[in-house]
Amino acid sequence: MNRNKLLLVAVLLMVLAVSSLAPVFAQDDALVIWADGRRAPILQGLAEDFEAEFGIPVEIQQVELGDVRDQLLVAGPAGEGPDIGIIPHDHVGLLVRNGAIVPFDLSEFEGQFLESALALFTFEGQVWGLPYAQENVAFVRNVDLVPEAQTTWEQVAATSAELVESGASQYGFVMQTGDAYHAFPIISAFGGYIFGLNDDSTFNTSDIGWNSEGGLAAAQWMADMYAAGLMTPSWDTTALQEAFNAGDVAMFVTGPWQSNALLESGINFSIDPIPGAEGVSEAGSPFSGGQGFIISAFSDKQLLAESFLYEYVATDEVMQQLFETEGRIPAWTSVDTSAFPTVESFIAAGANAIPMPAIPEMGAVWSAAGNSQTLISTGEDAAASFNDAAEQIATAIEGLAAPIETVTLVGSLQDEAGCPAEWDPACEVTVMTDDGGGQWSITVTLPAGDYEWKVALNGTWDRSYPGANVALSLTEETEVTFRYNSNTNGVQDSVNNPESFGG
Amino acid sequence: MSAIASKARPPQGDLAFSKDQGNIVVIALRYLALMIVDAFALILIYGFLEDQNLGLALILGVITVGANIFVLVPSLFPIKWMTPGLMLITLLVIYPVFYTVLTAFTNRADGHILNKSQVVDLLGQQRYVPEGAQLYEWTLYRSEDGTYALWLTGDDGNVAFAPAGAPIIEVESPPEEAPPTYEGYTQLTRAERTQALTEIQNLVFGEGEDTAGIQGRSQAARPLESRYVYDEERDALIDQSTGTAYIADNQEGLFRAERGSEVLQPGYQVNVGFRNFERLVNDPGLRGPLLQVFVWTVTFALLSVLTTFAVGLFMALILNDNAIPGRKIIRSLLIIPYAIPGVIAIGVWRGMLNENLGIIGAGLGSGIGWQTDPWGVKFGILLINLWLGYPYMMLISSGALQAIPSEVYEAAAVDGATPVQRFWRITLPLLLITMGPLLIASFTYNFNNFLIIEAYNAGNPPIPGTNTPAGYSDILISYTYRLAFGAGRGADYGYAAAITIIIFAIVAIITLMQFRLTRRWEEAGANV
Repeated sequence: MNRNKLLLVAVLLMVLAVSSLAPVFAQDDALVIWADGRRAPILQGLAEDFEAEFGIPVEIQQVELGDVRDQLLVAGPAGEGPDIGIIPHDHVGLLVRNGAIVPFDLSEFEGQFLESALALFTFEGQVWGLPYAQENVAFVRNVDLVPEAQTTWEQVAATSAELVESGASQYGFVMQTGDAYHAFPIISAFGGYIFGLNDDSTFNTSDIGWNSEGGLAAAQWMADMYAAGLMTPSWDTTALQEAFNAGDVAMFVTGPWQSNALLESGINFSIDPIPGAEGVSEAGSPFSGGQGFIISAFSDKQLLAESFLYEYVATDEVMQQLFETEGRIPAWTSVDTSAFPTVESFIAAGANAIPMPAIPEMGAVWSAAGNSQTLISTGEDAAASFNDAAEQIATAIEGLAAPIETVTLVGSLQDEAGCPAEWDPACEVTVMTDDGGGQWSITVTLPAGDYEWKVALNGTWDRSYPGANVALSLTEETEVTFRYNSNTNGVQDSVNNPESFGG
Repeated sequence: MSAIASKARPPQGDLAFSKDQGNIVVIALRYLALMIVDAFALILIYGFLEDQNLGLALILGVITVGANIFVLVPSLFPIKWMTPGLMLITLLVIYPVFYTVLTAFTNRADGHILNKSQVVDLLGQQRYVPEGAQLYEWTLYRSEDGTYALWLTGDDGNVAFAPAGAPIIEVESPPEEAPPTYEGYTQLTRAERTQALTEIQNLVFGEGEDTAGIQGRSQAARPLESRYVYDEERDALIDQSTGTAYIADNQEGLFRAERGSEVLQPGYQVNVGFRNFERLVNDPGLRGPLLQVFVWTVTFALLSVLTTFAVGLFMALILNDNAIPGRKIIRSLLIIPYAIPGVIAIGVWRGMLNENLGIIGAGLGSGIGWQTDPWGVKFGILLINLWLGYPYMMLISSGALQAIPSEVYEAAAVDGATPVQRFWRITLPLLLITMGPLLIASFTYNFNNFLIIEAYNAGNPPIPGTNTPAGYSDILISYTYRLAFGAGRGADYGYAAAITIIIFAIVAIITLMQFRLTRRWEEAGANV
């Protein structure tokens, strides 16, 4: 037994000795970069140069572009995340909302970055990434089968019908199934959109344009193509490229990431701007997207990460290498694009591109909008499918919001109106009356002064409208009526909007 | 960690059982192994504590102490053979379940990922240049004893020298360029400067009221101040640039402006009680296509079990016949689908069933609507699942068939039973006794078989006219996955955890019912 006790003491001592090394193991000086498979080899080369010059190790970990966002949010707070990552621009919104990335000051690179690429990474007035590539889809055409450039989707339909009838190819134009990103240029050509814009050019997520007049016209165009047997369901980009290479599909929509495949196809092809729609538009607008580097807000080496990006990545040589991996449109203006003759055509097709919204609400759009297009491909009614999608998007965005039970006028005028405090959504004195038909209103008499107000639903701040407070200025004691419309979430008061009050 | 534990275990297993373990070498090896395990556990616990992951550190601590007791207390010694298993179960099964239940009662979601102190820290790091502050370009210096200092060059030509933790010196009639040395400090080379960046990024230069900080790669500000300061008394973050107080709303998990509804991002994680469950009940998605999805989930799981079992048993019966030549080779070949990873196999099938290009979809089996028709897709999924699942059933059935005593068959043959009678009256009932629990396990597995649904057709084709996106081939788990992660607000972990608990309850109820059923089979089997 004694021997055992001695051993026990020895065990404890050893354990303490070994585990006191823990902080040594945990110490990590390396700058960690999350890059995808295509970018990693280039950065690996840079990392070696950087280490040779400064003696600071740089570790490249392979994480796919689309996964960086979610993994950063888990790993970052735990101290395991990267210092630098590469993301598609539409992930910026959620990362900012989670406080996971830091803003950039790229003013020293004036004129070096494409303005449009910087715009993609701009969110709430600040730039959150260092862009290296931009992209948008274009209309790809087999010149031997379709010698003439297509200017409208109506013409595309007619050309497709001719090709199929004459047996020149199995299909004319075919679109990706259930893919709102690739379908969007058609939607926009007919005047449809996803979200309308507010006055300050932010997105108004309560104005959903998928089933606007233009959106429904595009839906009808698709339905006609499917009904005539000119398009069939179950296509994705890979399958379309294969059929295009075999001469079975004469026209499709794709982006610069297919440049290698197109150049190697042996087909005599042309990359054209997106066709428009008769009497509506000259050309459809594709979405523009971008890719760039971000710096983690959880990193303790932000200044070093900044140095690495500004001094090692934002250079002609590296930007050139990044461009040559895939042939996406370079965000760095001095890149020599001769390696990919396709780039200029994609840039031309993107002249009227619309930045793909980086707002988190887009998450609700992709599946609903994609589904509606799949439904059309299987013969469901065009208008019904698109209307359902718009409703699904609205439901998802408004959330699983409980129905409106009360609407309360809140603001700095509440104490004057008889509430115990200002800005109190729970105050019962300023609860509005339900006038029916989604109209709510309240009338209060206020002394002269400057006020701010808005309305809050169901006695909490969960939902309040409008986004910014409404300013109200009174020069004398006034009886003011406030209104809220739950269909549009619009608000009015009888001083700012006298015209709506018959005054 | 447990892998290490089992590897490092002394190999003299039989000796260890004897009470008077006289062999000093055995004992020494055992303690050495324990030391290694403990050391690694402690390192991990250190790490978890550093990440403020108290729960995981605690669990690991409990497990490690348990393992030590089992090894060191002689009367508990035999249990040590189970320690690797117990440790793994606690770490990989019990802890995640516990964590899921905890999460279901929080608002953990995008925008509420961090805890309150992490948010305070994160926002506390933000700095701003107050009005009237001076901006400079900076050059880095270091003294012999390792103190850093900045040579600051202002736009207006005035120059200052700011050592860390000492008063800032105004440099009168400065040289055109920063000198190589100044006041005992030496200017750093580019390489030295780069190495020092991490150290100096949050350093305060200067002293007392007059300080400067590094704002970017080339710019410094004097002063540079923290934007948000936490006021413990008011439980609020005060924005120093505007004076606005953002009061912590511990119900919602965010800092909200004292006046108005403006909130700081990000919010933090708080306990929200049953709110996630309430939301689940009120979810319009659940008033929509839920019933349809549920019926297909049960059908899919049942049919998957039945088809794989039927085909697997059929193959096993055939291969059980000694008259078949090359049985071993055939059996090995038939196991291949089981050996190929599901993701790859499903991808290949997806390609083969493609209606435009696939060898089956556009060839022999065209017109089925493998990826577009509700019934076609369901048929395709069952077919692929059959392909993936029958080898397992075949393997198990082969073993179970061997266990049926041949006397029973001989007796039946004497009584003049036909082969068909023998199968239905003897083989199947006896087989079900052993196979029953496995079939139930297979059912539960398929009930939550997210992979095949998502990888084959992502739940498509869509069901028209629903209020949330849903597909004909969606099962409960894939459908609710989209409710929790695709609703337009990013990922909602708290909600997802609540859904998980509900699905677990459903599976548990169904499984219980099935166990009742198998008990009846067993009783029937006992009468044979």
